[in-house]
Amino acid sequence: MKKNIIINGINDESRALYEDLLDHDLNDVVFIDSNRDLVNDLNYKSDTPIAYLGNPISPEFLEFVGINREDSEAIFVSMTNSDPVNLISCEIAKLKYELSQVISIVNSKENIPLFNANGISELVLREKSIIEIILNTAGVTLPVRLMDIQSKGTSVWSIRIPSGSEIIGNDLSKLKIPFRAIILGKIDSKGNPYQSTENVDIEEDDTILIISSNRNEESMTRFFQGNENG
Amino acid sequence: MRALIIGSSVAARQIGESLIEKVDELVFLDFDSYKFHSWGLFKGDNASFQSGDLEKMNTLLDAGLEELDILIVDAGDDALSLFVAQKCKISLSTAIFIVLDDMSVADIYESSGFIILDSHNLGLDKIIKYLEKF
Repeated sequence: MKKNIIINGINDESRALYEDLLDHDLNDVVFIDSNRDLVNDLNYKSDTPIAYLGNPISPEFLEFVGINREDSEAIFVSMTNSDPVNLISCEIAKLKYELSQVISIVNSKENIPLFNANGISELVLREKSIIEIILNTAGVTLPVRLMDIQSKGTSVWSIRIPSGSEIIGNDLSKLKIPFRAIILGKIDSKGNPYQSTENVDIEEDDTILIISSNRNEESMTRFFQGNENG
Repeated sequence: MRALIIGSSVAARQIGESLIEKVDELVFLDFDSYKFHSWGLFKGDNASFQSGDLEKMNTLLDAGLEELDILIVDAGDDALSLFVAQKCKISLSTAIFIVLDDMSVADIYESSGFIILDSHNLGLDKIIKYLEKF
């Protein structure tokens, strides 16, 4: 079956995607956006109109741009800089029009579980490619959320201990954490696991496993990777 | 009973006025607090307001999300309201009402357990009926 692609959001990334799609002979593509200037600008630069102005969460508008075409299977890609618009437009594409191919940019890492929980699982994290690369270059690795405790706003996290952390040398079993959390244990640089009750020192490149509220992500980063661990 | 209203629209204010006598604590939350300063609702001691980034979980938790009985969301546009409401769904015991301008997607979210109100015809009886259960 033919494929038609609807790209929600006009920006440098979505324009680059469009060029890539054309290179792969996927040329049944339309852009949608709620910004009149962006729509007009893109159409001005194109041989034929490819961008449409409208509300990306309006079913009437989505149908107008071909989300439920009978002769084609639509692929919906949301690439705006608004996670609310990305999530809700994708949900409507998936739930109302039963599209199997729905892809979204996620602008804030905090929102990944929300997209996943609502069935939008083909995700590209925008801030990861910029922020995490910069931080990793600087020797800091952000806490990684391994698993959500469903509906609690709490997760299981892993945090790598970088070389500059003030916490290196502290006894794992005697850590006093200034926020509510449960330390499950650590995995050393050779992959050996230790329980949190064991009298072992924290070392560079250890990975700490911890349960804590999602709102403590920044506190965790400061405590385990920075200079505020007392 | 503790209620949180997210947004500072006319509808949000109208809902707040209908709830103020029926709840123990009523909190309003929006990106900015400037609209709230002129509201008479806050003369009583059971209503207050907060401000912060509605898209951030920290803001929602600081507003007491974990101890709510009832939540009403009218965050300014439908996409943001639906997004915030889904982000707030951390407890099955909290009733979540969403005020929408465009009702054409209401059925999708009603099937997920949200209670949808039409901004053009609020129908506050849905909220009042819910409160009467307590």
